Order: sequence, then C-alpha cells, then structure tokens
Amino acid sequence: MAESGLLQIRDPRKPYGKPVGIDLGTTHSLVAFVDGEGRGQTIPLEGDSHLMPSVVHYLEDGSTLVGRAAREKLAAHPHETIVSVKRFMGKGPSDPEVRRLGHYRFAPAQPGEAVVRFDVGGKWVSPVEVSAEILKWARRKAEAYLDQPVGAAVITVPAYFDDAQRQATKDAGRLAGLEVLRLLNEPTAAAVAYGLDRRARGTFAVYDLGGGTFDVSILELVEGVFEVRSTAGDSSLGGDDFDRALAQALLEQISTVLGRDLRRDPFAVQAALAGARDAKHALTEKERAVAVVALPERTVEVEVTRAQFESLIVGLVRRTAVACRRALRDADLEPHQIDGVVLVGGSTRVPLVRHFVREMFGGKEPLGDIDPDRVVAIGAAIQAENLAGESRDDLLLLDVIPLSLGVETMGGVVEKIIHRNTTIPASAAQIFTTFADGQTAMDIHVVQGERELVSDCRSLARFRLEGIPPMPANMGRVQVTFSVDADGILSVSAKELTTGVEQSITVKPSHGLTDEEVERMLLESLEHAEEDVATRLLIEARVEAQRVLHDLQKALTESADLLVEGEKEAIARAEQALREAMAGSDHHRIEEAIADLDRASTDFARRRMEKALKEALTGRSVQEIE
Amino acid sequence: MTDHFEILGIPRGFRVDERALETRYRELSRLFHPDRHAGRSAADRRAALEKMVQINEAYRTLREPVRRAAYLLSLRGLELGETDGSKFLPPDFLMEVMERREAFEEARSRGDRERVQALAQQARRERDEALEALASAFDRDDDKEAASQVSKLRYLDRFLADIRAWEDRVFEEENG
Ligand SMILES: Nc1ncnc2c1ncn2[C@@H]1O[C@H](COP(=O)(O)OP(=O)(O)OP(=O)(O)O)[C@@H](O)[C@H]1O
Repeated sequence: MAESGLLQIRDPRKPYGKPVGIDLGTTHSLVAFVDGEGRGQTIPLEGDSHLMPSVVHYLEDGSTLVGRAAREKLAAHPHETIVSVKRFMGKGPSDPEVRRLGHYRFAPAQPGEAVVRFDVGGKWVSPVEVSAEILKWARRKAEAYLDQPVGAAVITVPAYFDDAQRQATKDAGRLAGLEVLRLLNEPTAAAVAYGLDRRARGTFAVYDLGGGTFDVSILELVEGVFEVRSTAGDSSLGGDDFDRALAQALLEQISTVLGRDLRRDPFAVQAALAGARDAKHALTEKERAVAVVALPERTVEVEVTRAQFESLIVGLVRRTAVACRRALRDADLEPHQIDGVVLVGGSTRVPLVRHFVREMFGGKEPLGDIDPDRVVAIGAAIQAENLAGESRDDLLLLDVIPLSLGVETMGGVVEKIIHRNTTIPASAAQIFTTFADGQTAMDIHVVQGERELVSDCRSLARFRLEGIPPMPANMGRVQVTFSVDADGILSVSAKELTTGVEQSITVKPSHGLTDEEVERMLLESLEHAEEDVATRLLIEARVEAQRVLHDLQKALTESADLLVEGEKEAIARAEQALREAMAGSDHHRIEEAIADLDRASTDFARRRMEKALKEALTGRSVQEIE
Repeated sequence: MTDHFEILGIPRGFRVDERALETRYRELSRLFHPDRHAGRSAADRRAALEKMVQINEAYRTLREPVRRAAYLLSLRGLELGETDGSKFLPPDFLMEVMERREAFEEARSRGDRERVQALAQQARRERDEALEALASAFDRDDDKEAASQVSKLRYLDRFLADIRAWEDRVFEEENG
C-alpha cells in the first residue's frame, strides 16, 4: 500500500496521509508522529529499535540496503557503504570534509561540477540521493507501522545548516516522494518537545551535539510561542570527530607496532573508527576501556583511559564554547540569565561534554530527562501535525537564519543584506549602481557567512543580470532583493530600476541539484517507474485545484466587499476555466489554470490580509484569518 | 506604504512600551505566520507571507532603540543614511572617538584585556547616557539633537562591536 498512498486521497485538506516528523541524523534517523492523545511518539524502525542507522549500502545491481543491514556490510565493503552522508549535504567536490579521515571513495571531480559524489562501485551517487534512500526507507517503515499512507513530513536540519545544505535536504525529501512541509531546526524541535511538555516559560539554551553537527540555540518561550533569539554552531563538529580523534591515535600507535602505515587503508580506517566508537561509548560509563581494532589480518586491542580520551577531544569540546558564547552575546544575555539548558544529541552523554556545558551556563544542571536521541523527532512530529493535521492554536515557532547573507562587492568584500539571527521569513533589498560607462550586465555573487571577505564565506550562487540599458557609469541602478522563507531557504531577485526595465531571476545554490535533475531522478527511480507517474501528477493537481477553489469560495462569501471593479468577473472566468480543466485529464492544463486563477486573485488575497491586520489592531480581533 | 508603527499598531514615537510591543508582535505572528496558512491556496499563502515579512521587519526596527530612532527621524524627513552621520556630531565627540580608537588599538597590540574591558565599560556608560539624551530630545521634538545622539550611539555601537569582534577572536584562538 505504501506507494499507492497518494491514490487514496479523499480529504483535500489532508492529501498526504499522516504527517510525520523525521530526524535525519548523521548517525541515526528517527520517525515520529502524534498519537490520538496528542502526544509525540517515535516509531520502531529496526525491530524494536526506534533508531535506524543512517547507512546506505549499494548492491551490485544498483539497489540498496538501508539501516542495520547496510551497516553490517560496512566492514567488508567500505567503499560501497555510505555512512554519515549528512556531512556531505550541499558540499562541493573540493570541500575540506572530503579530505578528512574516512573510507569513502569519491568520484573524480569533473570541471565545473558542483556536487560531491561517491563512487559506490559502477555508480556515482550524490549525498542527496543517498539521503533520499534513507528517507524512503523510513517512510516505508512508518507506513507499515501506522498502517496509513505517509506522504508529508517535517524534516529536521541542524540550525547551523547553510542555504545549500538546507536546499539539499529538501531535495532529498522530494526525491523520496515526500511533501516537505517544513525544514525545522533541530534545537527548536527539541525545545518544542520539552517546552510543550511542561508548559515552560522563560529563556532556554538548547545544546545539541550529535554525530556530525553541533548547534546551540537560545530561545524565549512565552505561552506556546517559541522565539529563537540566536543560534550558533558548527555544522561539521560532532561525535564522529571524537571517533576520528581516537581512531587517529589508535592507527598511529598500531602502525608503529606493525611497521606499516595503516592510515590510507580503508579497511583499517574503518576498523579503527568502529573500535574507537565502541571504546568511546564504554568510556561514558567507565574509567577505562579496550579499543578493539579488527584489522583484516589480525585483531589488535589497545587500552584507553577516560583521561587519555578526554585529552584527545578536549580541543573539540572547547570549540563548542566559542559558539555558546556567541549565541549568548547575540541574544544579549549573560549565562546566569538562562533559565534552563536542554541537552540534545547522543554526544551530550560524554561526561566531559556535560561538565563543560554546566560550566558554560553558570553551573546550572542541564535538563536531559527526555531521551536526547528522540526529542528532535518528537518535536518535528508535533510541528508536522500542526502544519498538516490537527493544527494547534497555542503553538508557534519563530526561527532565525543562522548565517548572514550577502553579495560580493568591489574588492571581494561582502556586503551583508540579511544579518544572522534575523527572524524568518524575512526580506531585504539593496541597491547597487553600475561602475562603467555603457555597462549592460551586472554579475551578482551571493554568499553566506560572517567574514568580511568573499573568499572566507560560502559561495551560494552566481548569476548575471542582463539587459541593463547602456548609461553613463553610476547611473544604472540595480535592486537586489533577498527573501528567506520559513525553511530558511533563500531566493534572490534583481531588478534594474532607472529605466523601469524589470528582470527577476531566482537562483538555485551552486552546490545543489537543479530542479530538472531532481525531476529526472524522481522519474528514473525504480519505485516511481512502477507507479503511473502521470496519474499521480493528475491527482496531485486536482487536489491542489480543489484546495484553491475551496479557499476562494470561502473568501468570496466572507469578503465580497473587498472586490474591486471587474475583479469578480476575472476571478469567475479563471475559476470556470479551472473547473473545465479539472474535468479533463491533463495535469499541465490544470496547473496552468491554477496559476491563472492564482494571478487573478492575488490582489484580492492581499487586501484580505490587509483587512485582517486592521481588524486585529482595532481589537475586533479575528481568531483566524480566512 | 504603511509604516512600521502602523503595521504593529503602536503609537508613533520614540518612547514605546516594550512589553506591549512584544505582546503585539506575538499576537500578529500568530495570525500571519506561514505556519498558520500551511494548507491554503498559493495566493493566500503568499499574501500572508508578505504580511509576516513586514511584521518581522517592523518589529526588528522598532524593538531596538537606535534603529527605532533612526527610522522615526527618516519618517520625519531626516535621513541619516546607513553609516555616515558625522555631520550631526559635535567636533569634540569626533576627537574623543579618535582618542578612544587609539587607546583600543594600543591596548589590543599589548593584549591588555583589562584595559580593553575598561574602555568597553566606559563606552557602555556613555551609551546609556546617550539613550537618555535621545529620549529627551524626542520629547522636546528636537530632531537635530536626536540625530546627533543617534550618530553618537552608532559610533559607540560600532566601537563596542569592534571590541567584541576582537574578544571573540581571542577567545576563538584560545579555544578553536
Ligand atoms: N553513550 C554514549 N557515549 C558517548 N557517545 C555516544 C553515546 N551514545 C551515542 N553517542 C554518540 O552520539 C552520536 C550520535 O548522536 P545522535 O544520534 O544524536 O546524532 P545524529 O542525530 O545522528 O547526528 P546529527 O544530529 O549530528 O545529525 C554518535 O557520535 C555516537 O557515537
């Protein structure tokens, strides 16, 4: 029944079955939903376990194993088995991540290629595709458990993910056939799970150290409104790095003893990482542990004390202090003003980390009583239900962008357009002038980051605005507008002002897949070849059409007084055309008719919002805006 | 175009009830945030999103006193521009700025954190005073004086930001 889910729709308001929350983690992934009593619950994905390893193994025929079954292949097939794929999301082939200690084999970088790809034996796959496999699998498991179709999800991302990483995550969701309701920041999700539970009020810090990423967010909680004041972090710092630090030390030691450099041998690296991780886990409870490194030729055991381990990771743990301090300062708070600290992520079990967090936030004992592994998925489920199921009036999340967005100006300097920790959705514009006589085009380079120089920031996209009429220098004025939506994803448009020549371009990040690529992959993937893609698209278009008509009907009855001359007729014509298109079976035609109706009713919708705002302000408050 | 005060429905003026401002912001967010319109038609979603963007921008501008003051002045036709407001500043303040900068440079090159902190402390004190002066300038409808205080506050804020950037860098070097 899994894939037929979309064919069973009845309710146009809930076309996607049961909404779920997915924690797409570096090490593990989880799925959660909200039960009949309104409580968030995680779903068993692997037997009794609710944690599914985020591991994908590629078989020779190109099909995949996911989760535990994939992890079992790791020792024998280190190249064909992808772990920690999240660390590569939105990354290019020359990213430093690619050069870290690991057992991956990368496809040779093609000139101009934007995305890193793994060579999994006869096939090159991008991190988006690998993540989509994890999501598909999680979705299937959830459908089986819930005995309902699952078509829409809130997927969590580290708060510190940049635009390219977010876009990649969203693409992975689409590729898995999911409607991505929202990308939700992991610390915010955790705060939701915690805060709603205890009707908390006050200022909280969420410290989230997982397998591959670190986030800290400071939130203010008032009557169900979660207002993120600041966020900071490091999207490549986590428990994996502890493993690497220890594995590195083990490999050096063993190499010396064996008289052979093991650090380039993928089997040895994999064995050392596995041994290091087990030892690390043991050291959480005990003062000493034995790291077992199962090399192909022989198994080596090395004793490690907690103190030794701590000396290897203390530098990494200290790095989290930099982010904590910045988050506090950006929120304009002193450590003692924090009412509570919430610990999230498996790596916060490490005693040194706990100790450090306590010190960082003025000696307060951190909260950790909701399972730190599950809390993010539960928060995501609550938000998914809120968006696509039973919406709750008491809950609202106001999040921020983690990193400033800007454009390159003269001399390779960044001009920031939207600053970090700005509440989203947000939009801002900046005007640039032409610098040469007769200049007819302007190159726009979009970057993200805090540093002053473009070369120190993340390059997101480049595009060229053409068609500027020739004018003397400084006369051509181009307005560049940045808009960040509630997922934290940016779109940019540019417009030539002086002559009124308008040209708007919306860009996709340079390290992402194009829409066409995602579309093609979607069509190519086996799963979707089995079902009738056209039927599915038709049904989706009809559902959307019904939704539009339903909303419009309601608006027309309630706010007929807001229509201007001729508008009613124009809307009626577009509506009629849509109804006719719906009777047919061409999904393109329906989509076009929806777009036409959308255009015809845009100003009407605006006026209704305007009126709703006025009413809200004059006290004749409306509970909800229709 | 409605202005930021109208959008949030608060009286136009420098002195605002910050509590009321926050409450109003939350009320409006509950109505217009995209999450509240998730299941609606594209036209409705877009219209709500546009409103929420305006509400966020209005709140960002009005909650912070220096931004609020500059905005208020711009509504009254007095544009301070993004950065340079030096024409509103008394020359002796500019002298002070230079001396302060020199003191900071010097302390920085010696790595003298205590001295830097003392400078920051003093700048914060002056900032508080300038905020008082700003409020009373607005009370008297003395826009020129208000502009001068805003420019002063911007200098002080930039100075404090530079100190902070330096402290952050030192902290990062020690911990990174
Ligand atoms: N008892 C333990 N002691 C030490 N580390 C642990 C323990 N349990 C789990 N970890 C570590 O926690 C990390 C996984 O945490 P978690 O599952 O929260 O991360 P994730 O969600 O997969 O990653 P991310 O949030 O970075 O995407 C791994 O590095 C794992 O080794």
